[in-house]
Amino acid sequence: MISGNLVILTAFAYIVVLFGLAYFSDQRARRGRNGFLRSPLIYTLAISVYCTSWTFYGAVGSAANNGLEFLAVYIGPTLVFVGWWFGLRKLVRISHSQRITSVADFISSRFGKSGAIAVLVTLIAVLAATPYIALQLKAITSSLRVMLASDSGSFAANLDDSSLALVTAAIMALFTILFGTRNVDANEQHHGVVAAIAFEAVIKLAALFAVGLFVVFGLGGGLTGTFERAAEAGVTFVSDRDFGSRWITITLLSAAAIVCLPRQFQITVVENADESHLRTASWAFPLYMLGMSLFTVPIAVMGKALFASGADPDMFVLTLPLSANQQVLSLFAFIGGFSSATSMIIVSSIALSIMVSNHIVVPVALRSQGFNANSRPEGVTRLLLTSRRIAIVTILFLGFTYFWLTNGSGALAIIGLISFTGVAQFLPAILAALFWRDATRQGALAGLIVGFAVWVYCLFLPAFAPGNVILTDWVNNGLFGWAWLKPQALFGIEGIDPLVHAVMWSLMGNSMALIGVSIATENDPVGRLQAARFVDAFRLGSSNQSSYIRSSATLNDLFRVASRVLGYQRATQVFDQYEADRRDRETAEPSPAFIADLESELAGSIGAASAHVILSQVVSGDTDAIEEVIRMADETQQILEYSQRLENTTTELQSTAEQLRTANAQLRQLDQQKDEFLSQVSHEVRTPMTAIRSFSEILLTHKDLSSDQRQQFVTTIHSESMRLTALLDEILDLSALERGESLWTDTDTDIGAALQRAVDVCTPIAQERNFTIISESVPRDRIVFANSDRLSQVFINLITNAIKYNDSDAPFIRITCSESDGHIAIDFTDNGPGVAPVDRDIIFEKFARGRGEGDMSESGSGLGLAISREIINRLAGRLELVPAGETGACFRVTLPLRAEQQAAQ
Amino acid sequence: MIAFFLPWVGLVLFMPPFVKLFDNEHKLFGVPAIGPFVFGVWGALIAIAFLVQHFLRKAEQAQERDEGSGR
Amino acid sequence: MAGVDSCLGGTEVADILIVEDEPSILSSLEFILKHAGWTIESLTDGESALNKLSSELPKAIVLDVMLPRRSGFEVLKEIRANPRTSALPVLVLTAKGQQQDRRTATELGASEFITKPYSNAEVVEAIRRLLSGETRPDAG
Repeated sequence: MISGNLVILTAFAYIVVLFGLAYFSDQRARRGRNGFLRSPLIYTLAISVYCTSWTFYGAVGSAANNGLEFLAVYIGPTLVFVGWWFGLRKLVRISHSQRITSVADFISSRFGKSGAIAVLVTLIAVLAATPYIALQLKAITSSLRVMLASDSGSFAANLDDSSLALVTAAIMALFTILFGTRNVDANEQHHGVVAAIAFEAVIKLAALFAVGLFVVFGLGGGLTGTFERAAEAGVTFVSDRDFGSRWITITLLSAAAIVCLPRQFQITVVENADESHLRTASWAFPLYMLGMSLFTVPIAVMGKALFASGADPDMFVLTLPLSANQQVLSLFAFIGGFSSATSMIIVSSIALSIMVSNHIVVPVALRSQGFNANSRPEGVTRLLLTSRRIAIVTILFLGFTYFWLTNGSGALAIIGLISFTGVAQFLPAILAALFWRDATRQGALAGLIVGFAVWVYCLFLPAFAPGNVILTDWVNNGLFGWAWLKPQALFGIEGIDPLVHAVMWSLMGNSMALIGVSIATENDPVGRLQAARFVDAFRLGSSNQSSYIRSSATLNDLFRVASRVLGYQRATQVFDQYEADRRDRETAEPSPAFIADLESELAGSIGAASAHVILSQVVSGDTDAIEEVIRMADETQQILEYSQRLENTTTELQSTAEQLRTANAQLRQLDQQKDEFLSQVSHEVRTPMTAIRSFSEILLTHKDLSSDQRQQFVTTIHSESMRLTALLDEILDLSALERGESLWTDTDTDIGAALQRAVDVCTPIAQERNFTIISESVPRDRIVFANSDRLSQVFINLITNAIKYNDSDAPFIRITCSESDGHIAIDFTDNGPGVAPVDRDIIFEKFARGRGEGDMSESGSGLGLAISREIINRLAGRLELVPAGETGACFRVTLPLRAEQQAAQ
Repeated sequence: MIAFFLPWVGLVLFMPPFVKLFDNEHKLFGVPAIGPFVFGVWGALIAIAFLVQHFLRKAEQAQERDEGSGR
Repeated sequence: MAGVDSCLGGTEVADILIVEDEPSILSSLEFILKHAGWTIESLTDGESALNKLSSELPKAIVLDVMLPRRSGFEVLKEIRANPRTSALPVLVLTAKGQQQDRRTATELGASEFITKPYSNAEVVEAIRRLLSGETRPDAG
């Protein structure tokens, strides 16, 4: 006989122990002595929060009814953990770098920090957790009922199931609040809770082992004996339902659940202190599950063998030791089951309350005007804690309501699978988040909505059917009596197990909506950026690029916001750190990197979507900022695609490098040309200067010069000075022309007149040297838009060049003109030495003199042709050297005629 | 490589039709053969996962050492 | 001044060959060197200077760098390459003021190097040194 009060007292004492453990662990962690608490062992044990009372009690029930099917629930997670290198590792890496706080945060963060997705995921998670929590309540209630059955004197024995469950729920709510919402941690890590959960994991494994060993060796006399005794009692191990579609479905569901369940995400991802802990968990957690399942079948067959067929197989773990009057063992087993239920409730409700407060309460509060105006330093922290406490109470109350509505119907395992199917709706979105760059926010939203709807319709609601007329009618006849809408036989496909049916339709609809809508839509800039950060998590490392380029926010603004979220103390810490780190103390503007850091710091408290909203309010008052985000996101995207197709783009890179090289070479050439020009100018200036200085010195030192000599030297000095002046004028002229300055005004000019004037100017020089100027077909009344002085200057230059360099016996120049296409062309052909082929290219360059044997006394500055070409270019014409006859050179000036004259032709 | 194939090998072994091969009347240690098979594969997966992470760690440490000496 | 001529055994070889294409500079050089007491031969391009040197050997050459046909540096190179003329003192004049020209001239074996514009005394001094066999310390 166990006293009912002793049972209840033990349960309370156990909770107090747990609370103490959590409290002291928290204290230790606070003092920084958390080495042991953050070990891979504690981490692995905490992950085993997966094994709830469903495992503890329900697995035996399931084994008794459905054979080995219960194993599928552990095989799925085993496969996921064994393959940690590809899935979990990436999940944890991303979550660390993005400061993810929950599964809702993860999905919304990936899909453009979408608030809508966060809310939807939170709703699904809460709804899906409801049956699960109800399951724990049912387990606690049933186990209490079993334990109290022998003692009708206990006060608890007089309560009915519902009241018992309600009391349990209330107590659980109280303890969860005490455990999980004492403070808001920047990383949402709860060291104390994790320690308590790890402790519970040891207790439940030990309890189950104790019962298992007792059953196999105490009652059955060894493994073989157990099965033999069962066989004698007519119990054969049923396996007829094994390994069919349910087996596959449950394996898939459990594999999804180990990632998607909010509490698993919380422990595996959020509470993960070090990525390398996954290594240990990869084998240790499957090993733990194996341990938990080892005795399930023997207990089940033994229970079936010993008890009448009416006995609840879910409670064999308790009833077997009780029947053998093993009071201590059964109490231990009860605590084990209690452990598994409480750990699930605590972690689940903490994880869910974080999601509710971060994704529903805070965004709503942020939008309300009152909150913005109110800048109490502890504002958001208090809001978070309050909302979390309320959320915990609500979630447990919902769980109780479910329990009450379903009248505790259904075996533990079945209730658990409803939850699994609900959270499995996150799986397509999570997989897409990790591996599919083009998955969009709209796609994820559509997938979640479809999956959620199908799940509610096909699995969640039908669970209430027993005892509800309308629902029963639905389930049997379909909505509105349409048979194709039967929740358990959509589109008339009958005969499938309801679970398989619901999983198949919901996940299929979910995935198809996700894929279809994603293909049809485009990611927005933030979405693209986040897609890149998630999909390329390993390639990018943990770099947290900023999405705020230019900020209009001052540090003060940011501090005000941060202190509201983080609390004054933590905010001061963060900002002091920044002050210490930053190099330029000149600006009051925070660096983009700091804002990004701050965002992730805030995200640690209130989730990515809310942190983004709250900082955007402050930071991006600048409309240009969003443009830059878009540009940057585009660039990021481009760069990523670039590196992905590295082999294809190598050539592109090479051509870029080639372009850079070319540009560089051009710059260097320009620089060299500048040097050459300076050197040329120097040379051209020094030459007349030499003569001037030398003759001046002669005049100064030789007083005995004849007046003729004196006269001659002074004349030379004078002409050299003139030459110098002309040179400097030309240099300035050319440089002005090259800069494109307007030095003259153009008017309608008779080109024939300008040419005639040039010929007139040159005639005296020509006559001096017996040089003939032949003007043939001089243009008449041909008007070009030009400055007649400049035009004459060009013609004079061409004619004098011809005179200078012509060494023939009968030197002449022939000037001819022709028209075509609205252009007039004037050719200056001489019979001089021509231009050597090597000089053809450089003759228009500055200081490039022909190498022919000209009369050296006439050599000009070497700028004439360069200036002439510049002038003609400015007049929209061309000055070029065209191939001439056997000897001589031919320069051609081409100019556009005025429009009227073009038309007149 | 092993780390990649391990979950898939496990999946194949646990899924029909493979698992069906052992779902028969044969007994092993007085237990239907299917039990030892499932637990055996499970245990093997755990053992291989242990070895894989063990060697991965070794390899990474060696790599770190190499990088360390290279600097 | 005629006395100096006689040193070369009556042949009509000038003391100094000036190769300079700028007429005004040429005439000023002719004036100052004549006044310093030397006989002068003038040429205006590199080609004819080399032709001249193949038949006559002056005591020194004043050589401009920027010359038509063959540049002063080419002429200098040929002078140093030919054993007959390799010891001939050469004064290089250039209007390009860069160090590079000075280096090239030194490498090619110029005895003296003067940048235009120069003082007349500087040129006369340099030629005196050349004729007396001295070298300026920095001319290497």
